[in-house]
Amino acid sequence: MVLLEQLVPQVRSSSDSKSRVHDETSLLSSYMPLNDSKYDSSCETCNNCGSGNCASCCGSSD
Amino acid sequence: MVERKFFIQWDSTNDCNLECTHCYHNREGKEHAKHSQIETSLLSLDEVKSMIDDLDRTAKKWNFLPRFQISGGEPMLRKDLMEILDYTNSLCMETRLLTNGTLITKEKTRELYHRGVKRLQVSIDGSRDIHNSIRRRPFAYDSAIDGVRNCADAGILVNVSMTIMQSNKQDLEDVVKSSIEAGAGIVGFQSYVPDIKLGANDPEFVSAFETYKLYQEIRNLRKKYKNQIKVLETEVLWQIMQWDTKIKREARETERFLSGCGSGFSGLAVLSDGTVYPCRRLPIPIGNISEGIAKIMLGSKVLQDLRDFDRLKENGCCNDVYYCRGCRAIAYAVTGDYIAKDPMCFKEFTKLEEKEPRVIRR
Repeated sequence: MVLLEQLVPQVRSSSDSKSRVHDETSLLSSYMPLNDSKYDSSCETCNNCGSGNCASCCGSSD
Repeated sequence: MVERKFFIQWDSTNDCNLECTHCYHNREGKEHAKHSQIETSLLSLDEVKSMIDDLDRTAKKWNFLPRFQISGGEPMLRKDLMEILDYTNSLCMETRLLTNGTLITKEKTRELYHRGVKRLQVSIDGSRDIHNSIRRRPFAYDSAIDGVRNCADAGILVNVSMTIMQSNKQDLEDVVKSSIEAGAGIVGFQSYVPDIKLGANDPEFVSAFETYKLYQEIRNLRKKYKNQIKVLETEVLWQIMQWDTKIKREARETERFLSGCGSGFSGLAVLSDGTVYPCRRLPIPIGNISEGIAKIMLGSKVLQDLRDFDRLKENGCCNDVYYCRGCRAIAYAVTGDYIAKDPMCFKEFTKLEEKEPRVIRR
């Protein structure tokens, strides 16, 4: 069980983090491009998860 | 090139006509609720429009499609809701409502539809008695089903959403069947985030092994009702049960975010007073929306941590971290550390033969 005094968010200092994303360029380069035509943003059920598992997810290709 | 979506999920009001046992507002304490329900602390219409403008501008600048998700409380109780929808509609912004469904009359569905709401989420958490017990109102189930039916009649796609807890885990098929009967097009299931004060001792908490068995049941329901409704497999842990793909391999090799939990990458939660959380289920304030989306996304140390795949792996996440990451809110609720391994991760229970083959179109 978590004690109440332990619930303070553990916000880590930037020096403690290996995060590479502190500016816009590095943030945007951290995304995997979705370059497959089957990720159709007009698909009414698509959540654009990008995983490539459409058949399992929304059943659109069943 | 396909564009990702970047969303804001906004608590339009804290007012609600129900009193759900698992509602965030009840958990976050009377102090927060009291503060947020003061009329002057709610974002004004002008402030809401500024937030929407910021979402539209920032998402497009970053090559995302903006999506605005209006939650609550109960969003139908927000007095200027229709004016807000007029505004998002004028920007052609995809806008969804997350509602308990009980106030969606035939007249309201027409108003919503003509303001661009083409998809809407209604929460149904079990069979009639279970749902009413969880919602603590005797009318909740029948009113919600009426709301789903009214939307379907008006041409609004309804996504029924069920949060799986100990008290309703036996009702999955009941929810699927009632969703079909009411005309919903989609049904999805969400994991229960335990009360942070109780962690894994929360009596509604579902263990990793139970989650695994429930996911198997959901997959069977998806097959059984595939011609009648789409049963989603979109929660982050579904990645464990799905086949590897070329794009997943590329994400692992290049150490880039593909999918899964969106906190830190593809969305923010905004409370009724403008306070920003990484996710509505991860109650750590990281700023106020008046500071701007870009500043918060780039400057928040919490979000930087959430994007730190190396640290997540050091904490026990596997190499699927680029499209899974588990649920950061559940990790935080159970361990107090938002980059700990998701305690509901059931990867150790999976077997290869239980993974579903799929056609790779490449």
